Amino acid sequence: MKFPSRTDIVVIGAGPAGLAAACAASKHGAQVVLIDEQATPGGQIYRNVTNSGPQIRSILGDEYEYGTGLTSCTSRKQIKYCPKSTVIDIDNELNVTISNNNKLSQIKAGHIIIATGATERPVPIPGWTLPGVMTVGAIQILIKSSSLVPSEAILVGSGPLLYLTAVQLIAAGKPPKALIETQTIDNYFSALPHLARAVRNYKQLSKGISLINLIRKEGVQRFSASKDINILGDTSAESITFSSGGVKHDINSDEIFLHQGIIPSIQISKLLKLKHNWHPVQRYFYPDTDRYGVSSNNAISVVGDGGGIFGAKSAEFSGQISALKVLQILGFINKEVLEESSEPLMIKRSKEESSRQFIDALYAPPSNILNPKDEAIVCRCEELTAQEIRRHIHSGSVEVNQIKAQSRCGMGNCQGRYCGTTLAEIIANDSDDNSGKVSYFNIRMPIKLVCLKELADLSAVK
Amino acid sequence: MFERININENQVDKLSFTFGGKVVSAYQGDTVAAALLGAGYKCFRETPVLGLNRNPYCMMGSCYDCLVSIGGRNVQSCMVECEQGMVVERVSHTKLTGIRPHEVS
Repeated sequence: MKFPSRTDIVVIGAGPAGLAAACAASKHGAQVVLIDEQATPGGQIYRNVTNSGPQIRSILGDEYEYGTGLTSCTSRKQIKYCPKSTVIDIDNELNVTISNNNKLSQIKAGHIIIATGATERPVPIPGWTLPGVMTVGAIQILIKSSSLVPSEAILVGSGPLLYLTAVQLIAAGKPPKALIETQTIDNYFSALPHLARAVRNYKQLSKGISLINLIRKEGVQRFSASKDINILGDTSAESITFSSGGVKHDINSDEIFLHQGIIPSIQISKLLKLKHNWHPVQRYFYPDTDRYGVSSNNAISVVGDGGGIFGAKSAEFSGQISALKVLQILGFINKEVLEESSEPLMIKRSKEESSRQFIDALYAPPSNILNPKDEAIVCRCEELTAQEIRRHIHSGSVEVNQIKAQSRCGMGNCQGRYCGTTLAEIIANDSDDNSGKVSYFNIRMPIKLVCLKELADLSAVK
Repeated sequence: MFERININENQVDKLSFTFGGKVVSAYQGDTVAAALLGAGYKCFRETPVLGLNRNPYCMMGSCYDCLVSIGGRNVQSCMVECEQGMVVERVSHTKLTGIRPHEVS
């Protein structure tokens, strides 16, 4: 693929936020490059929607099919849509380095919109590295892109995606074997004060209730307030043990799927050293932005779930709002047009987000998952257990990058994506002073694996 | 076990590739990881530190657990689409027998 050497706006990520941003930005004359890692547009939520047939669509529901409309803007001539392209670096002069087909290219951007979405929160329970254990999101991806469904899935954790996936598996004729849910009565109490506001988005609430009713109707076995979860197996998952309601359970299964909500993917915003905040209920880092999505660097905006988890509809509004602001920054529209066009979108977004505090509290990750047992692996790549991490903390290390240097936690292929938040939680729990020490790994280029030859070829061109 | 539902509705073409020398069948549009999971593989690779079996976890290009070797390159099998005749190998590595480099005295 041939990339332009410069462009007005680079949008990273072709999920709902990135697609909406690219589409809105291209309508006022700006040249947009839309970069996405996947082969087809839609992000994970609308993954492969352009190729899916009627039966898959009926299993996944109307909300999936809705994505088709969003993806159509990739054919606009003002948008250079670049699938199968991975950003590996962005420097201070807004040069974006992209890996595509084993070759690196660079684009100089006038403004960068980060729309890299979210990943599922790491669930560091004993046995989570065994083959047969995947994320609930992985089921979504396998259905959407390959029509593959697990025949007797056990879904473990909490969050709306757990119920949505259970209902989709029922629709596919493969109902889950069991739902092992982790939220407790405390979650319901802490969510209650947010219910009145959440009613503004009654559609979402009633959808949630209807999902749970469908699961009940199907007779899927459900365990509530589950804790002390262990996955056992010699070379792959064979069973899952846990306690629920004071009773110990042991279920045979080689198909176990974990989910504890999703957290912003902050690899690029951290690489760019943007200011980040901490979400105390959902316990994740997110880049600090104004209401238009502009970050602490005014040439960089962050939209969608990558800027804080609010869901696909809100992400779409964020993308549109952000694009308008960027057009104003770059001089394509004036302030009046910006305010006039963005105000109605902000009202819609606010309505969409009104149920978020309720959902955040209801599905807040349980502390026994965030602060894993000694024998649980924290860093999947370097295979470090929580016990090994704690050994470093007890000998005086209380900072993530210090422990990374000492233990190699976060130095593997995934570059800390699946251990960063866990390490921060362990430090917060185990160190004497947990007030302000919790931080995140320093992220450096390349943010995804790349061959040295490709890097060498790029500098030879320069 | 993952099962295919209604694969014929899109008239998707079948193809085949090899993994560790064994023939695996797949459908056009499958990623290598999806095809291997569909074929029931339970060991995509052995981990470099403890030498344990590992399979894909996230399927979206984040976790790197699905690494395989294609054309001499280590790639995320969940990010590569299958091609007819593709030769896919398990990632080779030097076994460290459970000892981390910095722990060797």
